[in-house]
Amino acid sequence: MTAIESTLKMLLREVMPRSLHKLPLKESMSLQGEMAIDSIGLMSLVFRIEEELQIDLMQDTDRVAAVRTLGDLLEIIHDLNGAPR
Amino acid sequence: MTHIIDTHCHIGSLDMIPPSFVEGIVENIALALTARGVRSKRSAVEDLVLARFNDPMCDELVAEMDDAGIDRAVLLAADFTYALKDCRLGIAEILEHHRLVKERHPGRFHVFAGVDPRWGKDGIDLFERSIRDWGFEGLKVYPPCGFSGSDPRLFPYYEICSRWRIPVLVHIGGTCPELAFDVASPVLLDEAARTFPGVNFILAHGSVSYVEECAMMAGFRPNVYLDVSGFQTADLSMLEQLFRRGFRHKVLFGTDWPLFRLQGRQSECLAKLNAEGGPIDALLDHERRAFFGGTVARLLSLRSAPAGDAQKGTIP
Repeated sequence: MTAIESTLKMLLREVMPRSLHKLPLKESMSLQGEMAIDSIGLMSLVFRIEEELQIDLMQDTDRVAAVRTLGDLLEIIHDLNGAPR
Repeated sequence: MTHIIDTHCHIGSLDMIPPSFVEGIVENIALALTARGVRSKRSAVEDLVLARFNDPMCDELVAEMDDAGIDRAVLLAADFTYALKDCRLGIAEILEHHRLVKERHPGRFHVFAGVDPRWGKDGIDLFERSIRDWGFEGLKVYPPCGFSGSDPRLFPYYEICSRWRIPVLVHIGGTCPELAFDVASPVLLDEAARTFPGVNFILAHGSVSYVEECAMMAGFRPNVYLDVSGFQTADLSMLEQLFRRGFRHKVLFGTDWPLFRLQGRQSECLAKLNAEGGPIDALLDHERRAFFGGTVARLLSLRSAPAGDAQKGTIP
């Protein structure tokens, strides 16, 4: 697991219901469906990622607004962070 | 096969829903984030919210309806133009835009026209024209703009609805903080529902706001129904309890697009309702069909032109 993935996992636990914390995470998982993150949780996640990873996710608001899955989110983070996946 | 009709949608555009309305939503989200200890810029929150209000011709809505298996939707044109001073368009232009959207997506939308009753005779004429000439199919009433659903100034509108046998959908409960909440109770609609027994009234968000009062109205007034829009952020056990009240045939599916887009796609909203053990699990097949579209289809099918308007009464 990369440092980014490890940080993201920690941040996801902040916004996912405790009952799902042991859920094995897959990139295909829907953030608001299978991972049960509500709208405020999703916004919290965006701002916490910016804070912890020191990246400006909001430079591409439309792309962030269109995020559906964990994979979508990871892709944006990697693109903005300039790190290979 | 169930034909799904979403009883409660709006055009996702700041030309239809004024910026001050959206700012109220942003304000409440920013407060919730602060309460979680999350540092956020208000402008960034606003950008995320506004990204969901960029669908003026409803192309995204139709794509999401297709993805979710929703056949048709009721587009509600709420009139904020009297109460909120930052509206970009006048109500006549707003209704005209709804006509264009309806024509762009044939067979997908039923439009309910909203006109603030304080616009006087011009407003009444505009509403009647939208029904007679454009094939609009109902009235949208938004009491938080500053009037009760039983305000006598609305009665000429209800008379038109009675003549055309078309329904009225009335907002219930809290909304944008710029507007008034003291007129948002369903009980305030009772005088109108009693005075116009031939008009069917739909209480918007009836499983979310003033649920007990909405249940009383729908349970006892034959011409009162309710929609469940807003269920996306509500306690679904309330909806489950509503379905145990003996008027399952008066509860209508609705989403309030685009206001709850932050909660997920339309398909995800539907999945939440349809989940095993979810709020509609106990419904019989015919009750599911009624909930997901059968009942509102029946209400819409009652529309008929009054004598003298027969030529123009056909829905294009």
